[in-house]
Amino acid sequence: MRWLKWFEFRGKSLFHISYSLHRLTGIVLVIYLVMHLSYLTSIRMGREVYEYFTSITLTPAFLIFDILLVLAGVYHGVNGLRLILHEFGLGYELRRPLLYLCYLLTLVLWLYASYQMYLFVMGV
Amino acid sequence: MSNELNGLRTKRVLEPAGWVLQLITGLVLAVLVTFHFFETHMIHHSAMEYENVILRLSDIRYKIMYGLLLLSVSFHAFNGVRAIFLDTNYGSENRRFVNILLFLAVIVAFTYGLLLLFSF
Repeated sequence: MRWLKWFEFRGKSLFHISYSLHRLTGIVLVIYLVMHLSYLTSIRMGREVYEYFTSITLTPAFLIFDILLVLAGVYHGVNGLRLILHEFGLGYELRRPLLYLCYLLTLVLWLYASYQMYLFVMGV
Repeated sequence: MSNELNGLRTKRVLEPAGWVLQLITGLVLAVLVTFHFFETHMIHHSAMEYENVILRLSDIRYKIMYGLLLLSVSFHAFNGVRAIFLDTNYGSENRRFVNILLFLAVIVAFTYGLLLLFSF
């Protein structure tokens, strides 16, 4: 199966790994989108149902899933912007430094967003 | 442009319009998803309380913003899934079926979200 080749990392370049991660995080985000749209239905079902859902999802125990989701979202977004930049012929000669910058930005934005979510869930 | 640069398999399997729209919706999402995250997690702790969610959903400016977000994310997500399917042996042999199925997924996701948006 061709798609299984995404995960053949041995001897592959960092660009290939970035591509595989882009698709993998994309799939994670599609699954989340479907869950998010379903979850939003609780708003239509009234306050009690909505508050029951938030009492489960806005908790410290659930935070780990949110943090991993944000990692997928931030990586997909930052790497996507890098791809768009190259698509318009910009920064082609800097592709390797830009890839490193992409990883660095992902890490910084992810840590910042995770910290904000931690404060939010803890009510700090 | 080097094939190692951006996994051009996605570009290759999509039509030019599908690829360009994927880029445009990607840019729109980078802005709107960031705004959505700020709005719900960083401005105020009460942002996710029932009253405040209803208040936002009742505001015409939020309706427009969420409508655009919904349209962009529905297209970007399922067009991306379409590219992944078309990149498989099955997808390349059943292109028409994959296109119809994922087009329907875009319509269903967008319509379902709009129903919620216009319930308030």
